[in-house]
Amino acid sequence: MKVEDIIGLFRGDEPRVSSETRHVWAVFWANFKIFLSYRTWVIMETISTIASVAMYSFMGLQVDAKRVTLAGYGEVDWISFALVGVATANYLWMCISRLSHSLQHEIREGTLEPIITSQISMRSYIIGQSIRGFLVSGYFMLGF
Amino acid sequence: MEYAVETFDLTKIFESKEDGAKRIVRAVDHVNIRVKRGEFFGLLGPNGAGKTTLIKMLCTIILPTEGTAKVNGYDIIKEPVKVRSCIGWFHGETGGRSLYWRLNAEDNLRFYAYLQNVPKDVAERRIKALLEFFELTKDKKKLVKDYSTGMKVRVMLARALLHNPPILFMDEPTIGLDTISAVETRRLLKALNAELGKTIIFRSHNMFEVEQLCERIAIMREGRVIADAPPSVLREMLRDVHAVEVEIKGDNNLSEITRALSILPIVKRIVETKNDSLTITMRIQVDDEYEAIPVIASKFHSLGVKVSAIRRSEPTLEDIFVKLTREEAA
Repeated sequence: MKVEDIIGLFRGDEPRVSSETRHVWAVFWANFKIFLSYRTWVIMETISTIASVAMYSFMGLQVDAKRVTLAGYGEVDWISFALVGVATANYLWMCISRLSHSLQHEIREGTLEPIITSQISMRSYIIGQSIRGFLVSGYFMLGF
Repeated sequence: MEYAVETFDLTKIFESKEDGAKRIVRAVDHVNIRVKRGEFFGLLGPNGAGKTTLIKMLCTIILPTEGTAKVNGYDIIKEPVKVRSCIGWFHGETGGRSLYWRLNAEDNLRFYAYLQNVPKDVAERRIKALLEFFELTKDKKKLVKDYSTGMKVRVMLARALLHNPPILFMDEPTIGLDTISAVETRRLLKALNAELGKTIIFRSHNMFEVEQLCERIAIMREGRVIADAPPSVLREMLRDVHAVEVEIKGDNNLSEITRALSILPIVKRIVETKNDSLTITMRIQVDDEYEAIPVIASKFHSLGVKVSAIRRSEPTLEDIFVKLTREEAA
């Protein structure tokens, strides 16, 4: 490929069409691919998911409805309710911390600057990053 | 006339704390430059002169403290999205850090093509061509982390061109490139400017390439523009600077030669010495080159040094740069 061929390629500008869906997809796709490229990271996430599911299942077995009634909580399964609350909070916290971690990583590595100079809005970028975070944390929620 | 880039007292002040005391650094200090559409504009200056900060403000990466600028007619503060639609930014000093190292070259480019709203078929065509031009086709499936610095720089260059922007900010585009790639990159930039009318704001420490490519050069020092003119006009400023270039061969004691030359009344200073193992080239600033040539030749003869060439030397951009930055400092 010669300089002349590159010039020929760029002669006559092709119209560009802005699409938020495409931006969100690009951020999600790139970050998910990066996530999958770290084998240790994927393994650790899987172990953490399995361990969390096992832990909550074990706790759930310990506190059946009979024990709750005996503990004086009547018919209301408060502990199970609390467990679901803790698990949901944990899920949301993981998603937010993943987003914050990704942003810090992008700033530290210098990958955020070229993104800023592109056409993507911060909103699309954050949505794309969040989808990746929610999807990974989704393992945990589904397991629970 | 509408300019490609026009700044209005553009200023950036960084504040930091040192030993509890507030320190203010004026990285860019009331800069007013105008770059015409289709111009190849050079930005020179010593380290810390504010060149990169200026470029980052024009690329809407950082906000100015005072003043503003227009890029392609759009205000960098009020219309950053429109500014971003017409610029390509390359920052060579990162040495490839601004790429996703866990993606391959093709995926990196595809990602940015999506962000720059390039239609899929056009993006694929351009990615293929640019990878081929930058000799990355063979390694396009390798993760960027396994690339050499030069390869990463080439991916970054491809990324800056991918969306075909009318204005290119090229901050050290040949840094880390081998000689052949650097020559090809310079040829490409020159052609993009000459044939497609792209405006290029070019920053480099390599005076030779700045002189070779740029139609106009701004020299910055401590955040301010201290000169803004075509290279020929800048060279005119050095009419009073005379220099002689001497080439010597063989195994010589360079420090002894330098000492012997320095005490000659006609020698002002030794500007630079290039030693490429076979030949030593010395640039010597003198009062009058025609009077100096026989005096210097006879000195070398008395030292027993074999001179292969001695000639009058034209002032270079480096001389201008040194003269201006020293004058300002004084």
